Amino acid sequence: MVLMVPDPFTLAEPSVGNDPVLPAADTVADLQVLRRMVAGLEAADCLPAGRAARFHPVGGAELSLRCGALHAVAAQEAGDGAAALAFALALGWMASSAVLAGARAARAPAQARPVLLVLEAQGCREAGEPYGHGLAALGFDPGRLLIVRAQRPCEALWAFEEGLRCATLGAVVAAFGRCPRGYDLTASRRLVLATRASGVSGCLAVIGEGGAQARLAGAAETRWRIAAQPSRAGLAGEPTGLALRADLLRRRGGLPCQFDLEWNHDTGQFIAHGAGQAPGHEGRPPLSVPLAAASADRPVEAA
Amino acid sequence: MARIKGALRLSALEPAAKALGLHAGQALADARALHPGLRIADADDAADARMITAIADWARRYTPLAAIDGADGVVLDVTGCAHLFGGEVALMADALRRLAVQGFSHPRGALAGTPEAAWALARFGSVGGRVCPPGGEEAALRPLPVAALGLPPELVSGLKVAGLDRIEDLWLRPRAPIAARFGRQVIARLEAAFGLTRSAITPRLEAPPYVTERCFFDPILTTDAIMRCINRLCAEMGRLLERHGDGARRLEVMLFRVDGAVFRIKAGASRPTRTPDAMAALFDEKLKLGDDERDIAFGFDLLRLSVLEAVRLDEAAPSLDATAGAEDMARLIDRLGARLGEHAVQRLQPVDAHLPEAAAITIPAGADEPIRRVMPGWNPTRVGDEPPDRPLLLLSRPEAIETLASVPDGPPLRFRWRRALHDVAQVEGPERLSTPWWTLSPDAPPAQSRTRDYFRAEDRQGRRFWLYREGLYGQGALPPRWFMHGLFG
Repeated sequence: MVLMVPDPFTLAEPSVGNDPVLPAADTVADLQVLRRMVAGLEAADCLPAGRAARFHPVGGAELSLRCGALHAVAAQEAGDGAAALAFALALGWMASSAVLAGARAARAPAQARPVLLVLEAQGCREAGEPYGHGLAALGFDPGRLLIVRAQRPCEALWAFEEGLRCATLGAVVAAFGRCPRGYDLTASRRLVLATRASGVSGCLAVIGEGGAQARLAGAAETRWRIAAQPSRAGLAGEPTGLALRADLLRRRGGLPCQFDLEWNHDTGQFIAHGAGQAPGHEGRPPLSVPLAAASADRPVEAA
Repeated sequence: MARIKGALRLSALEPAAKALGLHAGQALADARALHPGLRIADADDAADARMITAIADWARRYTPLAAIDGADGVVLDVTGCAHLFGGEVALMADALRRLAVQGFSHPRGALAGTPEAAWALARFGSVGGRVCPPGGEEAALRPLPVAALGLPPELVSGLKVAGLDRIEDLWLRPRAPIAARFGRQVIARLEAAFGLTRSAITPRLEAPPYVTERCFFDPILTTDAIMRCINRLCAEMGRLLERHGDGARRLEVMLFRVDGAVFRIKAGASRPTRTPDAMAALFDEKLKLGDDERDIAFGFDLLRLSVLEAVRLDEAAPSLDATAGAEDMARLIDRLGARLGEHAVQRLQPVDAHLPEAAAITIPAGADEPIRRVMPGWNPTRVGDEPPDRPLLLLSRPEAIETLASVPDGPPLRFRWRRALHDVAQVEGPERLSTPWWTLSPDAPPAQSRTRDYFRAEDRQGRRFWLYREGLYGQGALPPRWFMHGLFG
């Protein structure tokens, strides 16, 4: 890959001695150089050929995410664990199907990529066991799912990273009871580098306790807080499928926003009710920017 | 000292005690009367057995066929192995020297053409190692006492009473009268010892089909050195397996420590392999993991890699489109399994069963064929855009809940689960599931055959639960009870 970035040292005045002279940061030209350097670095993040796919976790183009990135999901309260796990699995499934689409475009044989689910046994015992028929009912093919049980959080993080390094997988979902102690900026950065190297998407879910969003700080591309929502009533007043409220708390290169989502297991997509709103704007009119501005690769100001 | 036949008796003696004229089997009271200052310890059979087992494992450095022989011996089949150690005499000397270094004060050994002859010479022959030349068993055995045949003590004393003290007394006499008086057992042992009939030992561990090993003059002391050695052994093993067209499914590394301790590291591959890197990777994690409990101490002087289970493996042509997916997956499963345990990596498998908890099982990810009767697919009854009828998470055992319902056999209005109160906003049900009647015995307790009515309930916060009522009103003595069984996303 060729980076179209001029070397800042060649732009600078020839130095008198042997010491390299850094460009002065207060000139407009140097700022432009720095911007282009940053753009070049971000371009360097792109994935191996054939896997540079995107997936749209929220119906249509309202939000698109890169495959081969790390996402962090936390339950809003302890009782929202199942919803958080379902959302994390949905992200993983969408990412692995997006990889599939990318592979098909590259004329590779179409083949469903497996998804690895890492369970931290201690934390997930309370929540229950993943049930094959229930997974199938949500449109997640259990035949594509590989489950790893780790006794301790550090082992689960290790298994998570191992999975992310295996390019055969479509996605890795790791479910923890509470925010693992070893998950800090360094650990998450390692995970991010692993996802970039292999193109496998990772999703870390904290399902056993609520309010973990503050401690899930890390280098993840997006950070979500998930709460269960009452589902749309069916014809006979029965509850229908998976419905949840997703708070996008943090997102690289974008604004946080909030969605009411309903899972469509046939298409494997979420349907959003109401456009993505910035949190705390419930009573006000939505953001006065076009929807397309919210896509991940363009800042809102650029619209 | 141990309790034998109702009395406290001496079971084993130090050399110094033997010099005082005591003997094993003597009553403790007699021994105390002779020597009041006797130091006595309880016999610990379990510890003895552990030590013999450890010695048998250590002895596998000479031959894969090592067996535990009674409570106080180890017997090795060194057929075809002796030349590796410089001949039979050198092998015996090496084994006795190493045992002496380990702290066994007077190891005794013998090497003979039959296990029985070796047994007799080791216990009743001269002190030290004795190697019986081929065909020399007769000369060596004849002067030994009849006890050297390894017969029960009653028979030995019977033979002595009859004036038959030495093996040659038996050997030179006609067999039929002896067999008539003392039983076939005596003649059988005698003939086996002299090699007239063949007998085999029962090795403690099966001989592996493939073995490579590396011996060090100076013991190796670091984990890195061990790993490098394992890498080299794997390369050798790969060539060996390739020549025979086999692949390894289960492997074992044995580390022989200088002081006689033996560590065994086992690893399994989810699919047969003979790639050196793949085999070495299996041990990589395990070696790192076991580092703290395995005390290197003075180092290891012998490393052995054996294939415990080999299966036929034909070379597959590498595909041209570079989709090495299955290989990669197998490697990932092996790596995860090596560190977290082989059963930690699982797949889900549908089962043709009625009850929800039996309708899906987890199987090891490496397993090939389904274990039980299998349904063609997952959740086949569902059509169109029906909402999910089975939960995402199933509790490993149903948890009892308190409920409030408007009508006795209707859905719940409100329930308490894990100390939290939930108001039901929407509900669907019941879905009635019963224990299959054909699996119940007619006199089964009624609790086993109770019907379950499942409800999907959503509370006001939007959490969806799968709960059931066990039993029906008006049937059976017990009132129905409510349980929480799963959580929908």
